[in-house]
Amino acid sequence: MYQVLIYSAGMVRMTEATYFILAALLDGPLHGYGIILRVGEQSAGRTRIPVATLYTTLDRLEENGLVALDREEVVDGRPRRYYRVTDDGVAAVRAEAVRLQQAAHLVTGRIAVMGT
Amino acid sequence: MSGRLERCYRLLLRLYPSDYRDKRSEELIDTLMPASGRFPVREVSALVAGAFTARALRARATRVPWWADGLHLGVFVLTVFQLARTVNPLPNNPMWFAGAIILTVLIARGRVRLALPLSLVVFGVLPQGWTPSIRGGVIIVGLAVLAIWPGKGLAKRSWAWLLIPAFWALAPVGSIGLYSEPPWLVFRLGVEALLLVWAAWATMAARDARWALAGAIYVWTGLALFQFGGGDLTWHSTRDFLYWGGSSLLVLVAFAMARRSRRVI
Repeated sequence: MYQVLIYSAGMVRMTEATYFILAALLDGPLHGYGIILRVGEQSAGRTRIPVATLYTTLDRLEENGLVALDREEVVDGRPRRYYRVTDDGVAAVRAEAVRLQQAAHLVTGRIAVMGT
Repeated sequence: MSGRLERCYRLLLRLYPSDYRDKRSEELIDTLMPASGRFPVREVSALVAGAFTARALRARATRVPWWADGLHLGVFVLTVFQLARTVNPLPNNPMWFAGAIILTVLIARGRVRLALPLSLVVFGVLPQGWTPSIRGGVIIVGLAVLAIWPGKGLAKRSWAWLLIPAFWALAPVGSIGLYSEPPWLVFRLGVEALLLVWAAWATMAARDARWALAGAIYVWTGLALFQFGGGDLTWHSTRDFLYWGGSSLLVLVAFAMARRSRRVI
């Protein structure tokens, strides 16, 4: 569904939180706190997603089929759910990465030509 | 410290809808506790915003299409404010007043097919001194559209809405208008601004236009009354234009947010 939106209309944008959450899940399923830690590592500490924002985003990604529940464990009497990225999620984050790369190239390529 | 923090989080989680809490609260606590710093201001504000978003999404989760839900909410808000205008002073016809209250309750419970014939009576047989208004016409037409619509399951609106006519009844003057004394003027503008900002935020959170539609029905029906019921435009003051301009702007912002947020994942 996401691919249809992104490629036919070319209008869907991704928030920074969505991008980093999907990127964090590329290496395998993670639980909520695991995602927060991985996002922190991958962004060199620049992006810190508040917990409630993480779950709001996960709900939205699940609804759109970009993320799915992988498994559930019980730790200290509390449920710990692991989430994984779906094939549509991988396609979406790849498309966003390509878009960001092209946008970055607009500047970095020009600076290289100018020799600065 | 961690015990107090957990209690604080559990208190904030009560802002979420109960079904969401049943599903997520322990998982949220499990993630919040290790993720929180010494002064978790961002976590607290995100929880409040998250609770609001969860409530907005819950409203969207019904099978009722956005336009029907938005039309129902818009007609209901118009009826609530219409009732508020009748409570002070109380109309001299108690039967009519009882009819207006029953109409409001029927719409609040989503019983539009019962509400439609009653609305024809309530707005067709006005008390002495009242004149037919655009507001009554919009309510009747809105109810007719919802009554014809074959779907079921219109939302039941909160009883808290009835606080608006209850407060209105306390006002010392006949109505709370743009030229009332400051406390009542602030009350009216505050309630309306709060509802319109809430509509814009809910629109952005749930990513559909039901609240924007409800806001448009309320504001633009009032604007039509202002335009066609107030005589020459030159009679109106800067305050009138600021009020209607500001209200309309908030409605337009809500529609723009519905359009924009649909394109963001």
